[in-house]
Amino acid sequence: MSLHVLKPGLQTTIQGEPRRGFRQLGIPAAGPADPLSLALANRLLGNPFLANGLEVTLSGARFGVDVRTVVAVTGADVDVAVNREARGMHEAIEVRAGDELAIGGAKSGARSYVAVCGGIAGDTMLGSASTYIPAGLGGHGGRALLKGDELACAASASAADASTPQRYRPGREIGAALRACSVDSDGSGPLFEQQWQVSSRADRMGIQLDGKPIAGMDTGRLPSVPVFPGCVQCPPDGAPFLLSVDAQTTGGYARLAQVIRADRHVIGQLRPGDSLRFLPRTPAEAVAELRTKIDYWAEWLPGCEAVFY
Amino acid sequence: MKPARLLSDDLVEMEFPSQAFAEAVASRMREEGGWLEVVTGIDTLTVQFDCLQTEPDQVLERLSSLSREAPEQGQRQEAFELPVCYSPDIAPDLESVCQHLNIDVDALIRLHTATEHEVRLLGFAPGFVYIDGLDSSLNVPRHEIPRQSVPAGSVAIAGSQTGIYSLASPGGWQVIGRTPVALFDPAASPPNQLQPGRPIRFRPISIHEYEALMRP
Repeated sequence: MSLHVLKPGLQTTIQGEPRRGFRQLGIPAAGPADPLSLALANRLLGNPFLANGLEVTLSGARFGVDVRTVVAVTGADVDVAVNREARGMHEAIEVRAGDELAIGGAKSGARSYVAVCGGIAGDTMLGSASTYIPAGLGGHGGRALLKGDELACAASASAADASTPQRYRPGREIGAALRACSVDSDGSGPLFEQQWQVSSRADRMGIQLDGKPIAGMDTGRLPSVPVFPGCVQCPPDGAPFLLSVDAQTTGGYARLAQVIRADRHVIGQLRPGDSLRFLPRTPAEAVAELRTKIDYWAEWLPGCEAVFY
Repeated sequence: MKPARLLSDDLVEMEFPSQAFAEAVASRMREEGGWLEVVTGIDTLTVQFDCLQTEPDQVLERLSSLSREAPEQGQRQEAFELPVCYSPDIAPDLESVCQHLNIDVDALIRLHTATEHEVRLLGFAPGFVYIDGLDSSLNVPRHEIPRQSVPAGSVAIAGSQTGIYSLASPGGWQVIGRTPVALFDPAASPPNQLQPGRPIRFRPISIHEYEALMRP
């Protein structure tokens, strides 16, 4: 065993490659809610970008180290400490058996990621070890980590780089803008006209948005259609719901928009109280903006296309 | 048929005259591969594709060419026989549904088991099975407030359909029975025993049979 859980926090799960191609069976892809941050942590250690790491949600977590290895912490803005000594995010941190790694509560953003050299072993189901809690798939027994859980990591190796260059450390702001394609119209409409607030109903499945309720949504039940992470649905009460990585596979509410592929990783860092705007884009603009984003990241994360999903 | 349309940079959706038609096109696309997700809804099909590798026009053309071919009439499958225990001990809504419909439990069992039903859709959660063919006299609304957790194997009705919770999940359908058969096994391939289009019959069993079948 290489790590054991001293304090699991609100919800800490093993996440790695998404489980693609099973939505027709009702199985969401799961995977990290912010795959870019997991990739940045893995990159420092020389791991594949979506090697299994730990996703730590809002409150902090503490781990005991049982082996000499290297770790890295990215994502939400958190304090990192080894044996109570402050260390940095976006740094390769050497640890030894007997050390204690502490991740503080998120000061901004929602999820931090802990990567370990060689990745963390998880239960592989349908080709992925990413945890999907509602069906108990993957990860560590299909559930969030508990105190005392023991995690296996590959044998120790050295880090690829000491730290992430400043320009590749994503900033965490309390106001986010998500580019989105309007599903049923030309990109105008009440979703795009106002600023929304992330409500306290926010998890890996989706995020309810507070704001001026959207009128005319009481259309009764619509036939179920396939839905995907990034879809903005609107129930009859007019409060939109933004779907995230664990989104259900079909939905019967009106759809307003679909967040573009380039920006879906941002959804994983939204936390209650954050403000949020939607910016209308056409599908063609969306592809161009995805290419621009990949070009930006490619120098530090070569071959990062699969990180944006 | 309406033409397929782009929902975003990487999603195309198309409506079909029937779900069998959508399902036939979906299975052709899954066989040929190259798509990230091919998912059917009620009379619709959505394809998620890699928009860095594939032009949306390629997806739209593939969908329209496949949809010009009439779906092949597959060989009629044998009905899947699912044992169901209709007992208030394990079906919390059985008695209230009977009261609502003003029938007794035996009549409900007769109406639910007399005819063949057909699997319509899998989703919204892993292992949930939507089944068409519910007798129209068994039409009941969903619970206004969904239950936090419905046990695995629960057989429930709402509107014109039967639903099976193969795994425990939250849900708002009216639970009238429970099956001892595990319909979803993530270690199996495919993990779901039932696929859309499969005829299904419900066979009533006693609580003793249910318990015997549940023993490992």
